[in-house]
Amino acid sequence: MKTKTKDILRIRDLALSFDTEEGEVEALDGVAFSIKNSSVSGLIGETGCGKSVTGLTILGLLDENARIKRGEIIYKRENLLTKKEEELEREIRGKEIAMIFQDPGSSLNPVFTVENQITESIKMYRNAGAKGNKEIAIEQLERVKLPDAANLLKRYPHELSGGMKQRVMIAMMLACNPSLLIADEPTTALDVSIQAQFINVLRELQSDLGTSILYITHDLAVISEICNSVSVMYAGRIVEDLPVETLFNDPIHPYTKKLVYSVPGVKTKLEDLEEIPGSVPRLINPPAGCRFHPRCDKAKAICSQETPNPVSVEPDHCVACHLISDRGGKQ
Amino acid sequence: MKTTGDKREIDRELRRQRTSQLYLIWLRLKRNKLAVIGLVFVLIMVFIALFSPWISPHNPYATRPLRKREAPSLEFPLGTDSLGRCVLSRLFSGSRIALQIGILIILFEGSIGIFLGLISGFFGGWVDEIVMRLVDILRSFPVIVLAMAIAGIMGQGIYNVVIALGIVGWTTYARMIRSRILSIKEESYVEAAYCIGEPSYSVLLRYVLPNALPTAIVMMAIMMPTALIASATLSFLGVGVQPPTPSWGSMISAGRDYLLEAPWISSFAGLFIMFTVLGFNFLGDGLRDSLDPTTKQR
Amino acid sequence: MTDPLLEIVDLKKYFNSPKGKVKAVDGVDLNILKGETLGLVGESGCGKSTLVRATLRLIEPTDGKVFLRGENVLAFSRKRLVEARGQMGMVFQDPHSSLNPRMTVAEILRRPLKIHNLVQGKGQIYNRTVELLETMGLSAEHMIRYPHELSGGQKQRVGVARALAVEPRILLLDEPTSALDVSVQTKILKLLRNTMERLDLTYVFISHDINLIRTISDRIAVMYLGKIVEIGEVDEVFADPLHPYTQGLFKSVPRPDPEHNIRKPPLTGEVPSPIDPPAGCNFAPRCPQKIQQCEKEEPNLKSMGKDREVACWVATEKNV
Ligand SMILES: Nc1ncnc2c1ncn2[C@@H]1O[C@H](COP(=O)(O)OP(=O)(O)OP(=O)(O)O)[C@@H](O)[C@H]1O
Ligand SMILES: Nc1ncnc2c1ncn2[C@@H]1O[C@H](COP(=O)(O)OP(=O)(O)O)[C@@H](O)[C@H]1O
Ligand code: SF4
Ligand code: SF4
Ligand SMILES: [Mg+2]
Ligand SMILES: [Mg+2]
Repeated sequence: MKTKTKDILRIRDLALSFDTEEGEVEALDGVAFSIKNSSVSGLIGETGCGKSVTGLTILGLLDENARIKRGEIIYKRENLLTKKEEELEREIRGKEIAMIFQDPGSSLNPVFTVENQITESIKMYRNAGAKGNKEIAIEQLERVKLPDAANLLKRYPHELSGGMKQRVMIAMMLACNPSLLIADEPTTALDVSIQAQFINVLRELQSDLGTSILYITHDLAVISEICNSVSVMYAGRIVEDLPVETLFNDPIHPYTKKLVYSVPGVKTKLEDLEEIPGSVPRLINPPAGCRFHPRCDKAKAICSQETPNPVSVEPDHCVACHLISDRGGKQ
Repeated sequence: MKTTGDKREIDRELRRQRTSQLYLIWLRLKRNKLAVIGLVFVLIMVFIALFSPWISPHNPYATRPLRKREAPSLEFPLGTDSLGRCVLSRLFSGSRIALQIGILIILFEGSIGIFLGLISGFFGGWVDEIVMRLVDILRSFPVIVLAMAIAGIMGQGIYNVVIALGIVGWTTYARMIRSRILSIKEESYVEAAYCIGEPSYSVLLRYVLPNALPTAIVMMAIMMPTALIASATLSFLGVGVQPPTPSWGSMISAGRDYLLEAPWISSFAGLFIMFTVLGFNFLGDGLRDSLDPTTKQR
Repeated sequence: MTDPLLEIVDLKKYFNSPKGKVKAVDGVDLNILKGETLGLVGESGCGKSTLVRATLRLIEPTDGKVFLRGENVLAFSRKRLVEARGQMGMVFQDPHSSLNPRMTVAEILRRPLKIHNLVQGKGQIYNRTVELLETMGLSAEHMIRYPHELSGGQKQRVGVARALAVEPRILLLDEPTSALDVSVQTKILKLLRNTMERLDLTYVFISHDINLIRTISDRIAVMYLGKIVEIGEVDEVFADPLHPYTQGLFKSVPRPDPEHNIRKPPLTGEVPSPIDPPAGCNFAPRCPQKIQQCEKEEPNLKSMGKDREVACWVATEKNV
């Protein structure tokens, strides 16, 4: 939060809601976190907590019923929220910031070959003529460890498996050398063995190219494999921001604690696994004060009245919980 | 509710819950403007049909040789036709016939189609094979020509129109219902039903049918206009309802020679058809969304 | 060793597809012991769901035998099958589609009671329904709800309650928590554990979450392309996986531990199609340890000491 020049992306006090027939869905409420240059940041939380919406907001890809209420997204000193649609399209999307989605199938166009799709994106950002583009394409595919790249170019998406499609997607994204890659649950639809291959490719590319990555997932185990720092999200807010080691060794926020200790593998006995009573709140009329208070066993009177502000407890560790003032955190 | 209690208590709760389900359907329908407009249109038509003898300004059958093709006036709000009959009164009275035929057709073809679609989708195998081939054969005939042939053989009259149209009409239902059943069969609650030991007939009646019912209801609402238009077409072609019984189709047909001098004879009948068709279409679309319990849960 | 409650012998299920026979389950032998939790793992499409469905005859197996306490279920008439289904319950993966949207929770739970004639009289049925709900941490107020008025976790608990309603001796759970958030998962796992102890149940628990299987099962069976390749006590299999596939699979699993890193992808390539499975050992095309014999002869499960079986030429060779 302090060494600002080192951050490639900084989101401050982002609040956003969707207008729906049933009422206003307060999907994001004061989201703040930053991504350091050349690092992998994780964004973790349960279904519907607003992870995807955060990713889409950065790229300005929200649905029409979305309304940004306040906040700023600073990317390399510019506020993306004030940019016009055309500017985003021309300068940012694909070129500076790229995104891969959960469902690898639907992000590729079924009627074009892999070659068409990759060269299309290469053409846009660093055209090298028909032959050159093809070479770059092959090079990219080999980079993501896809065997037999030349042959692969002629194939259609439906002839590829989920893992291959996902790697074609990164190859396409990386063809334009983005500075920031947003990966929204890229391996959720994949098998563990394919996921392991994918994570490995991503990690290598990251260290070779120095691309910053925002890795969105609900899987803590995956976070621990690939991320340097993590932002924990609950019901549209970031509740804790911390280095990945601290996430497993010394989480502070009651929700983070419960979440971490409810994952089989962290604790290996069923009796030791934590459970959280109730279920994730809906975001139409979310709980007042701390949104976690109805499920929190440490809740105090103030929790249902006032929203806790993020407090730094360590240089890289921020917590938004009323208990924190007791631990002597400083503003 | 307390933890213990008797069966009656819970049955009462269930009933309350059901009515509130109906209420929810109404709430969801109400939110859809087009559906409400459709419902209003339909209700107006039903009102007209029910009360036509009392709200018609004249006797729809009374001919007035001296007052042929009179333009709309205070006395004849929509003018008179080639025999000097009051167009408005005939339209009103025609709405009775139209709705009557429409409802009969829907019931006739709907019950055949839904039944055959149900068993063909549920049992599959040779039952499915036979039903679907029959559907293919029937659908390869041009409907109106087939209906004309049937009407030609069996003679004219309301019931023959119903049979003539229904004989092809059911195929649409059978197809829709069948494909709905096929997708319901894939749901794991059907598998779960077998798992707890439900026999096939019970799976069909308790699990598959209730979930296919909304599709059937929507189909009926949406097919109503088709039935109306088809029966009007038959009347227009002279094989439907017998003159002098007023029917919208035959009125359009009767007025088509005078489209320029006396446009009111055909055009208002056309408007009535359009009005009714739109009404049922809007309503059908609205029902589709509001009958689905999972849309916009609260 | 306790006696097997359910014995699956050479079970096969082939599907016909336009491209040829899909060998979804291809000769599975499996004993399920009384009172145990057997974890079944394997990657997507390896035949886990098909195996349990065929066992319950929700789909008719192509070949094989399933002995439930000594009697072959696959030879049962319709009527006896219904009885047999009273002994085996199943919980489905997707809680949203496994409950009939047109029935209230009360009706959903009442059906199995009626079919198997387990309790008589309306008052009794009511009490039993409430009891079932309470077993799963729900209460009478949920009876009048429709499934869409419940959260995912609650729906899944109703799904378990329905399976328990028939008073089964064995419960087949097909990824019962994979559609749920982790914070809700523990609750269901703990409820399942308690119920098991109280009712003396046996579980077959399918999951693709290997960390989860490790936490909850006594024995683990690893499936690859329609076959079981390794089976044994959980601790032993994790401590020393014998089959090359098991080794690769376990190494691929991300661990919630920042010290742990999947360095080199342990498994290369992808699962081949079950339509034309490779000759010899199914795993040969991806196997780093394969020897000549592997591509010619198919390895069968061989006992490797106490309760441990593995189907691999190399692994069985080493330990002999
Ligand atoms: N009705 C069917 N017709 C044809 N093939 C089928 C059918 N059902 C399953 N299969 C095939 O059988 C194989 C095993 O499927 P199954 O559903 O048992 O896998 P699974 O191990 O449960 O996978 P997952 O982890 O994805 O649930 C797959 O290749 C699948 O495509
Ligand atoms: N287009 C939309 N209209 C209304 N609500 C939406 C829309 N997109 C997302 N939401 C809501 O915003 C919240 C966060 O969604 P999302 O970011 O997709 O969650 P996740 O953390 O699982 O990625 C959810 O409550 C979701 O229902
Ligand atoms: S602010 Fe209160 S309710 Fe929220 S997490 Fe902290 S202690 Fe719990
Ligand atoms: S039998 Fe051969 S190919 Fe198969 S797993 Fe063992 S070593 Fe590998
Ligand atoms: Mg998402
Ligand atoms: Mg499955």
